[in-house]
Amino acid sequence: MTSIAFFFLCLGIFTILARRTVIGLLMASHFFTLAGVTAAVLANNSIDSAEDGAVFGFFVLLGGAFQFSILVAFVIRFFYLSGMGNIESLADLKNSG
Amino acid sequence: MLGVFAIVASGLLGGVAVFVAKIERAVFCLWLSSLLMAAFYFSKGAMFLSMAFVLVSSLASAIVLVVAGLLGINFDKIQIKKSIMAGIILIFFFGVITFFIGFSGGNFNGIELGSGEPLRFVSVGRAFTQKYLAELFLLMFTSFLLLVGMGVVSRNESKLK
Repeated sequence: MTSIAFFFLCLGIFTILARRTVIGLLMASHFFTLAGVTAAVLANNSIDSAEDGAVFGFFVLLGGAFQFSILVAFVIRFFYLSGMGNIESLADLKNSG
Repeated sequence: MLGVFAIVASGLLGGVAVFVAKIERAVFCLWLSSLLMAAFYFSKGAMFLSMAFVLVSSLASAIVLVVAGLLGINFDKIQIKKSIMAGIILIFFFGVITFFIGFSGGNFNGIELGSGEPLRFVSVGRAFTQKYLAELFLLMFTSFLLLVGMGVVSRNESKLK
């Protein structure tokens, strides 16, 4: 059952590698949050705890929401600066300094 | 049974969301996938978490649609070579991790689906206010800082000049 969480983690990494747009980053952060919450819920059932897993999953969900808000701010900022949503041009920043 | 259906359908929809060509379809697939995972959490007894998950995922999907629509961002073509390489590597790691989890005597995967007892909201609220109060305040403070920072970062510079 823990493989489900790992499956979503793999899906997030795959999304980052396959999609080179900022929306791809947002989708990947969603998959990472899904993996974390699923792992917390499953761990709760495996240790037969009362509510610790659900509360910890809620914290993971909040962390994912923070990550999402930062990424949305990054998307808006990046779009205003570069005028496009492709993150390939981020590699040029290394030589621009 | 609900848990198995939710896991399979959610995984399939998540996979579809990675490969579709249009953003609105990807967001819709992700949203449906999130709802199904919320149903899975519900079947495991975490009702409060599933409700929070539905709210957060719906809000996030709406924000992504609005941002993508306003800024006109769209997907590029999926990079086939990198996708195939990443897929092979990740399937290999998935197999290795699953093998070791299965090899560990079933301590991690011996959970019956739907065996969790439903958590009462009272117990979750008591856990928040008694056991995890410091973490809750820390997260609330962090969220406030992040919201302020998000507004500062996403502000259009040209309006200031």
